[in-house]
Amino acid sequence: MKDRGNTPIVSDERIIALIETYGSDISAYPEAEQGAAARRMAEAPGLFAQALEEARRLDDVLNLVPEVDVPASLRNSLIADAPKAARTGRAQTGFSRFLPGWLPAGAVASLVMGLLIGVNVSLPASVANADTNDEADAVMYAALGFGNYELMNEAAE
Amino acid sequence: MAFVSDLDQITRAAAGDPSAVAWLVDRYSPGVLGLTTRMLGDRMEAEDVTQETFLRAWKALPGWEPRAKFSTWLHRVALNLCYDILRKRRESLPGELPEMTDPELTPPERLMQSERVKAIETAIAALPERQAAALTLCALQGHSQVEAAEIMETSEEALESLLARARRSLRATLAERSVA
Repeated sequence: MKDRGNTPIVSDERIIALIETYGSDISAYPEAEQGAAARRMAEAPGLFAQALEEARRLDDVLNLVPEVDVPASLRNSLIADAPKAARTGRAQTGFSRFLPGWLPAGAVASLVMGLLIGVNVSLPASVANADTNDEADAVMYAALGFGNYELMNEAAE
Repeated sequence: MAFVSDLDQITRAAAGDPSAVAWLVDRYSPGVLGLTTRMLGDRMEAEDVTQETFLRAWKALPGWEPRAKFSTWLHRVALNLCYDILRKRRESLPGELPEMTDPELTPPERLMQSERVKAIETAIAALPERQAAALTLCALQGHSQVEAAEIMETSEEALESLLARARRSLRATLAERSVA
């Protein structure tokens, strides 16, 4: 409801309800009703004095309730939880978002398999160029990282 | 001081920036812990719920919708976790009401400030849970009607009704105990 000046009108009953709901502080009322309520309360203070007094007593009591301090241990825990959670859930950007999560492990596995296959496939060529089987074996063992094929043979015999 | 928005900090925190994480914790943990403490009346449980609330927040950060208000979301999660705990309490202790009377507190002239505060906190925690939430959000934490209604996922009219009943009930309880 609005008056001719386009200012909202608040009934006396509504002002009592506002006091009982939000207390004695007009700034706690819904913004749209603050101005009209303040004007009406200034016009007829006697109408609202009792409600305001009761509300003020309760407001004073509520104001005694202290704010809750966050203990340092809790603050530290909250912060410590965050980076891990944030990193595991970090949003992927660009092209990487379309790649599956197992791709890095798959790439490493492929590389290892490729090296092994490469070594095995290249061995017959080495053997073909060797004069004897022993020389071919020596080349193969050297490729695999063993130092001295002859010493290995002697030790085996 | 430069204006820093929640969204800036959320974006940075999601990328693992420790200063943004600390900023969010310092800005919002007092309100969340205050709400959970008033709702549950038990500091240890309140801290657990606060920790769970922030854990959920950290997980939600990477996909954060800029339209959502972080504060509202955080308080709503905390409040819903409190409702769960209060429901479990009711189920495990059917018919048992919260302790409301303390004979030591009856003579008004002997009421010390700390005792008055304790009596008020007990009276708030003993309110029906939605009334306690409305009162805590609006009267103790200064949230607007719109914010409080969003946190509680209710209409502003319903919030107003809860708030009025909470204040009436609190006034009656405290008057009985000569606190107000």
